[in-house]
Amino acid sequence: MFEGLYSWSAVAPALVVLATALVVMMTDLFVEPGNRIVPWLTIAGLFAGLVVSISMWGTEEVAFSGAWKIGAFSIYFYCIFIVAAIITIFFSMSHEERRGRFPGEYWSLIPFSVVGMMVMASAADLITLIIGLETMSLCAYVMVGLNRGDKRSSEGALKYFLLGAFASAFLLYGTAFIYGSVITTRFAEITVFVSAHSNAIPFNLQVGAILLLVGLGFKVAAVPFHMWAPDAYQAAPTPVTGFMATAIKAAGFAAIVKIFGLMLATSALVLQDLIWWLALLSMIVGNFAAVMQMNLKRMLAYSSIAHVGYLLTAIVGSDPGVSLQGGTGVLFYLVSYALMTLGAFGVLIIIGGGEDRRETLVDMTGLASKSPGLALAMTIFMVSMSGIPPTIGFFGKFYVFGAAVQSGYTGLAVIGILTSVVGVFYYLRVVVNMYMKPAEKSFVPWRRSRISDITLGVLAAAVLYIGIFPQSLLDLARSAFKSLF
Amino acid sequence: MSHDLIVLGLLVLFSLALGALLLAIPRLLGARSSQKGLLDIFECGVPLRDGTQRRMQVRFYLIAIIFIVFDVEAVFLFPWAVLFRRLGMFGFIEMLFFIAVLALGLVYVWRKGGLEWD
Amino acid sequence: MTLTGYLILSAILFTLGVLGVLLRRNAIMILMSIELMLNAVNLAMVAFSRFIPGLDGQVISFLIIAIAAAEAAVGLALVVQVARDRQTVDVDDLTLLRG
Repeated sequence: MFEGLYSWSAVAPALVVLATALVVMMTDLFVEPGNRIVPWLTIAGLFAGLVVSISMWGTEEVAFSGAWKIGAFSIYFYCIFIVAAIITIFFSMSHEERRGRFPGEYWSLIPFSVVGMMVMASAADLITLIIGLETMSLCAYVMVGLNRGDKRSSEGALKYFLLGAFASAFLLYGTAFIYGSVITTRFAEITVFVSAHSNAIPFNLQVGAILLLVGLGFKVAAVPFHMWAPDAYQAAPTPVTGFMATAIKAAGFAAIVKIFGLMLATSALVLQDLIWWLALLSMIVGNFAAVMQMNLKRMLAYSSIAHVGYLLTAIVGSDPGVSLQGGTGVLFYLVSYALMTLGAFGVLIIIGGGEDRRETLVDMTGLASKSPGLALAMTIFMVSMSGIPPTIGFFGKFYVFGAAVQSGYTGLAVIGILTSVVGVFYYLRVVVNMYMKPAEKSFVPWRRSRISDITLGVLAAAVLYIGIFPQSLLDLARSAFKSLF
Repeated sequence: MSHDLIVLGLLVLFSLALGALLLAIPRLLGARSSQKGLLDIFECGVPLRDGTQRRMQVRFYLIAIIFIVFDVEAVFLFPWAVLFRRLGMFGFIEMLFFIAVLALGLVYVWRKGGLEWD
Repeated sequence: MTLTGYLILSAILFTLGVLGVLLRRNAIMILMSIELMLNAVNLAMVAFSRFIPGLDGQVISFLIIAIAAAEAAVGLALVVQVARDRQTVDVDDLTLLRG
């Protein structure tokens, strides 16, 4: 009865990161506050997790009676999560220099949430997925509220928590209905069940699928479930915002690809129309609301909503039996989005001063003359976000809209391209402010840290390099998606 | 009916009878009094000044939160205990690991001063 | 009682929870409404598990209880932090973040 019950190797990467989190948490208790060994220990542990993950590329293993599956897909996502976490820690260390120390828990919360994400990426069972999602989200709620003494931070955290917990309840209720009609929560068996009943989907399954979509829509902040995102993004310490926008969003899409891109990807469910609407509204609302924002963190929050819309266009109607392009596009896009978003938040962290919060559009004026390197890096990230070649953002958009056209949703792709033109306006407005306007505020000169400079340089180089040679990343994304079935 | 059940039934009857007896004796022998003062607090405790639904010390919330988290984890011990033999060594090690993680949580709470009263 | 009966009860509980989240303004009441929603899920899980083969639903409800406890702990801590900062837990008063 319990064959295939466990396998240490299948959970090795997640265990390494979990051990890191625990060791960091314990170390923090026994050293004096602010000791640099704690973040470096976190980085070392995460790096070990990355090495273990990469060494398992090419293997495939099912464990825990089929609730866990590690394969190229999971490892692709492990790499996104861990790299984003390491970069976040680098940025956090330079953020600390001017904004004061993070409490010691912060360094263990990051690997804890990465463990949750890794569970999501390798879950082969709805319940396993939700446990991972909860682990990740609980850490995220706390991290948003870490600006102690800032009233906005606790307010944002509470709003994020209330809507996040609300969404979890929807996810769980959906799971209950799917369990009731399929008798199991394993992805493989649900997929078989759905294709066997494609001409007469049971009512319970239909309801369950819609509830899952609502829950995951909240988690990735798709319109109309996006209200929390701008508040939470603005309230959180900037490195945490970057982490939320990249790793947490990627984890949400790992779940969406598995559930809606694969398991429930059938026109027999009413889901396709709903996802179509989510994609449309996210692109329109995200882009137009971003235009109005003067605060750059809020602007990036709305822009991330728009990017969720672009990603969803690749999910709509993607039938992996016909074409791999939809899933591959999403996987490629997530990497491109992670690189440029982390970069943009990195720049915000560096210019964001001490007591005064420099995070508005006005604060960017005259940056080019004060710090040409920083302005150049920001330009590269903004150009990439607006999807102009030769950057990685261009290929990301190219692949997701291509997938939408291929599955017959040309209209949606056209709307996507039109709304990204709006995006070009507000992204390039930042560049115009940096290069063409004189400084409106006199800056207190900031101390630069070498770590964040190097990280930014690497990110900018990656955005350009993959923008010119996208093929190898695309191949990785394709084989990762293929490993799912 | 098996022998055990008869014994159990006798035990129940005996305890019911004993309880009834202990209640009946003072009622038959003791003096009656219906003064209101009898229902008040006697010797132990100060007189009540307000209702029970009043504000609590906020200190309790931290203890309560810690309690909830550790308490609910016990829910996993019950199914594990039922299947202990069939799960074998793996189940044992897994549960040791689970409890070890909980213990680390306790160490954390302790060191952070979450259990201090003041 | 049939499966439909349990499911209707669970749907009523879940709807009450959703209404509570949407209509109540006190953060603690919202938190309690979310707990109510999770308990509706538990009821549905256990009911399904009673009427279909296998015990998965009952095991899952253990996991949901643990999730609910963890959420309650984090949520209450955040509510207390907001109450300390602002002397209110009314979500309509939390308007520092707008734009």
